[in-house]
Amino acid sequence: MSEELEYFHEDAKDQLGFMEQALMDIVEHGVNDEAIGAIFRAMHTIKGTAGMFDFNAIVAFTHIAENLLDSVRQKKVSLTEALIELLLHTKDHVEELIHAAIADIPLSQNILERDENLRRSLLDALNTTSDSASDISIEHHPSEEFSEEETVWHISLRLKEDFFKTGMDILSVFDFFGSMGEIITILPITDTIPTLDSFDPLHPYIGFEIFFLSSASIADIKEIFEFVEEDIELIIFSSDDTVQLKNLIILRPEVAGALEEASLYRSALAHDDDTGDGSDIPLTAINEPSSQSIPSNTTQIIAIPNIKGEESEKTILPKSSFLRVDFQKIDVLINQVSEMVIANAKIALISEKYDDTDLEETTASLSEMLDNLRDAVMNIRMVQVEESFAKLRRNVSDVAKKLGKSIDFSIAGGETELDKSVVEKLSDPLIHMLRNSIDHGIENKETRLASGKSEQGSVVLRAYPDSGSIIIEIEDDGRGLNTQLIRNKAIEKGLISAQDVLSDEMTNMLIFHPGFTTAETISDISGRGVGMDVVKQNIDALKGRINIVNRIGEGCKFVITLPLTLAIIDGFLVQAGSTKYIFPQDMIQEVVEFSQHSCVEIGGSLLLNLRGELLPLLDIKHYFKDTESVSFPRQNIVIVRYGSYQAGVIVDELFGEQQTVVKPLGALFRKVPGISGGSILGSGEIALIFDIPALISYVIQNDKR
Amino acid sequence: MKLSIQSLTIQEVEKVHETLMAWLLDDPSEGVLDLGSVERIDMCGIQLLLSLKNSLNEMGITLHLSGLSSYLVDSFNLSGCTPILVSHNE
Repeated sequence: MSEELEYFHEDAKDQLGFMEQALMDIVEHGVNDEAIGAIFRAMHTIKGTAGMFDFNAIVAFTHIAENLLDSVRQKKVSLTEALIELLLHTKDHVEELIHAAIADIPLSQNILERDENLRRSLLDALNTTSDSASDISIEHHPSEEFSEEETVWHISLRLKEDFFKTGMDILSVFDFFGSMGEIITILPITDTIPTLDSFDPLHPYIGFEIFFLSSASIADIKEIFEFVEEDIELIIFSSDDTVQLKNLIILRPEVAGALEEASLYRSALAHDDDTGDGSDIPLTAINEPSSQSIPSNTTQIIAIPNIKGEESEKTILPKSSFLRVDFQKIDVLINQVSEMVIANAKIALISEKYDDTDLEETTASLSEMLDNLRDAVMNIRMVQVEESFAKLRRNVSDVAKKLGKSIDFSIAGGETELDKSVVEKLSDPLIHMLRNSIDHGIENKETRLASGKSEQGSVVLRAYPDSGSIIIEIEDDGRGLNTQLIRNKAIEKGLISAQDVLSDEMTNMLIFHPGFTTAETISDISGRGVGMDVVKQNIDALKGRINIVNRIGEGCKFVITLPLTLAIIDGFLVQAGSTKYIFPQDMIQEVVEFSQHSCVEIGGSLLLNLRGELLPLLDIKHYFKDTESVSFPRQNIVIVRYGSYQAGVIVDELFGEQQTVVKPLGALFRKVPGISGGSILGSGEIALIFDIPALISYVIQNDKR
Repeated sequence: MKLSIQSLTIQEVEKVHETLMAWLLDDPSEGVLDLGSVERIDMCGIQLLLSLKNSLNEMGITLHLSGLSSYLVDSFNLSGCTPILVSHNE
């Protein structure tokens, strides 16, 4: 896929996401102009950019949707519940059209039929409510779309060296102008086109001066060039701005002759009666210095030198502060930083051997810089969960509608940041859990009213950081899990025996067992017993944990704890027996010296008396059956915390903090409980990284038993 | 000369450049380029025609484009090149 096509794909996905979010906003908070504008812009942008790639099926379909949305925008058509439903289907359909176009696969019969049906529905919606909007031919009607005050923009465009090699045809871009306004004139600047003998067919010689009548803003016009902005030089200003024209002519002298020859400037200015003395400016005379600065309604992708020519005055470019980067490129960067972390650890080790202050200081300084570099690089991968969460609103709405339940779905902590790869893999488990909450958790209206609850069920999805982890909760105010029913089903299915004694929490966790379901009826939403086990598998694969906080009759809360990132962590290096281990630094609460006096054994479990509080204690050598005899002058206890749980881990030597590059373990060790990965130390030794949640879970369950 | 290609875009422009160079060396005196079979053109192709026009001008020959489809005329219009490439010819 070409870079431009990839960009189109990403942008279209974003636009459709905005559209869905705006529609859901309207569903939840009522009609508002901003949301309607966002929906219109999404269709409008997709139509325009699809046209640049000759994706005619998308252009034709989105054109109809765009016309309807324009009528909605102009309040000629009311945005009813049925129309919102139709627009959501429209969004889904455009998504499929884009997928097929990018994959270059023909549209299936199903899609074609749906295309036809949706077109008809969109046209019906348009025709039944507005006579004036019934013209939905493919021809653009800019004057209908943009009724606000119009400006004649002067667009001066030059193509950079590699423009043609991008594969984009500037004619497609010009074609798109028609959807935003009216091109009064395009004046090609051909002065530099050589004769054939010195002509390079792939070099762009031509330039353009364009006069464009539109109510669009400079930012809107710039968006047209978004796909090629790296390969063009663009200056845009209002054509009645004679100061800018002077600046342009100083920068591009060829413009003066061309404009005068074509009498274009006068023609363009004629659209504005209030041009003052600018309407008859002799273009050959305006190439004179001016001390006026560039006004704020001007955009330029290149810098215009100041008029006096004393020094180049760069104008701040009003460009987007976001840059789309292929995720794989970031991974390459992270891998390189990871290798640097390992190499740095080696350098630090070597520097310890020499009593050289300069070397030590330089090494320390390098380590600090590397810390900062690592944080900066890792931060690139972090994204707010908000966007991902917002997409779930549609799922919740669909399921609630299907089940005839009224749900108040709210999202909290959307600004919480999480590694992008984790966020992407989280989507499916969250969808499934939300469906389950609505289907099994939230009672029907009658039951809720009978139990003194409000008619509308509540489902909250929230995220927040905690102890180096990210917590994601799904909480409902439904009936809660029926622990006794779960136990009975588990016995019936042979998952446990009738004699097994399990805590309520452990019993509830059986719902994550493959094939487990208590649903009496199987629906297409949930109840097939396929899903919660997959949810757990997905969470496990992300090195996360899931817990259930259940309140029978009052509701249920699923708590997912996820690591902040998966690549490089701040670690704390220790040794126990013959093996070196690393604790994730964020999970360490404190370190205390081991003393027999502060430890007690109750019922076979070792406990630590920490200032009057008893904590479960784990002897790591015993846990991993490390029998190799290595003597240390003292032992230590590392107190770790995970969620609301605490435990102590007995180790021998403490080495301290260090950046830890997480390396996956080989197949043989991948399933060793209590170990989440490995890391290569500066000495070349391997250290194992503790999976603290797994260790705590082990000691807690051991205690409970 | 008849340009026997369906498409005059970035994919073909280098080859067509060679063809036109050969034409200039041969006998371009009539200055007529038949684009009757060209169904598709992009800015690369239009730019090549502008360069051809410059070469012929140097030789004192006026370029005449013939066989223009409405698609080609639309493309010239869109690029603003119609006055340069077409108005004096057709």
